[in-house]
Amino acid sequence: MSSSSEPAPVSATPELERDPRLSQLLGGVIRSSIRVSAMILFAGLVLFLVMPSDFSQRLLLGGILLVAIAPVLNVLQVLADEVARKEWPFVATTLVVVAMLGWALL
Amino acid sequence: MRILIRVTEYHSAVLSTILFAGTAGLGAGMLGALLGLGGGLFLVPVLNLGLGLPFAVARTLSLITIIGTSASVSVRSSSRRLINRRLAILLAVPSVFASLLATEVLKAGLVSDRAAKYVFGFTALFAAMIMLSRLDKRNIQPKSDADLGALGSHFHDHDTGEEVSYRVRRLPAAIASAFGAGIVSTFAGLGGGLLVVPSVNSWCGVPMRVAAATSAFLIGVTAFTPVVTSYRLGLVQSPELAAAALLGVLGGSHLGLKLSGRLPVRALKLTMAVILGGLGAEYVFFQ
Repeated sequence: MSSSSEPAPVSATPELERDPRLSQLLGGVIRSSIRVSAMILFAGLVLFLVMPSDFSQRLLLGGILLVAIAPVLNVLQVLADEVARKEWPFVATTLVVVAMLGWALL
Repeated sequence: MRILIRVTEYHSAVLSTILFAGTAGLGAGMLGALLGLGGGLFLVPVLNLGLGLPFAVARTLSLITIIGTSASVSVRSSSRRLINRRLAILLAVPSVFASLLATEVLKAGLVSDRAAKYVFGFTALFAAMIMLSRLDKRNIQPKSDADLGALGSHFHDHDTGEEVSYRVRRLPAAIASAFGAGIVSTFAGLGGGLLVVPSVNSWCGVPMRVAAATSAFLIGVTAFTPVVTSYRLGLVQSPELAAAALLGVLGGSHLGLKLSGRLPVRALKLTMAVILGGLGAEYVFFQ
């Protein structure tokens, strides 16, 4: 989408052009989990059509759960960013969100 | 031979249902990526009315695909640059809190399917009106050294080909819309983007593309709570349909993001208003 003549795109998040290492790592984990879950879901679907069984159902549920944790990882990534920048008000806000997501799991 | 025919018939019926769910997911994913919506307003009617799934099950499957859309959009570099993550996290506080509250209300059986459909319809109509009233208004200004506040920022705008900046105004309005999004998400199986995108764009001065990308991030976080609860309540039925819709969503969001940089903002707003108006009227007056 960007041509070479365009200026380098910047982040829409204030002062977040550079991701710290932990944030990059989490970003990689999220990308990988999406790819792996897509593969698991596809394999589960094929298996379900060819030979429906408990295993194919579990495979499908596993793929769904892998996608479902992505938002939590996204929030943790933001937390890592803000901790690295020592933006404590935003760290506190992100921790509140993490706490509420954790509450949902209880 | 008869057994073989029956097996073939069974498989073709299952296959067509799965393909139907996958195609619906594809459309929902494209909408989600283009407009910052989870695609739930498209998927819930398809699953509920098209496939005859109970509303609660359709709502749950829709929320799962919303998380898929959100995750897919959030990790792509093109949209990551547009997401205002600080604004998203700030708005996640009221939206997740509201979804926790709404989940408890649903668990207590205090909201009927009919009421949930009204919530869906009126929210869609309301959002369509906001969009139509702001078709030609832009919230951006050429990049400058002016104070953009703690939440404002700048980005490269494909429409003008320039670096542009914006300031987030009327934050309480955004917080109120995020709270509403949490309620709508849980009751009606929507991402809540249909509330957040128009209000953040129209009232808070956030450009459309930034509002859509930020909303895409937010809706996944908001949908997490009702999905966890629904899973516990055994509402994640037909995982094969959820999987087909999710795969469709992942593909659709990829397509939508490819298109999003090439579509003008006015067309995006108009498309959103037409879709919201039509579906809102359907659920309020004809369901």
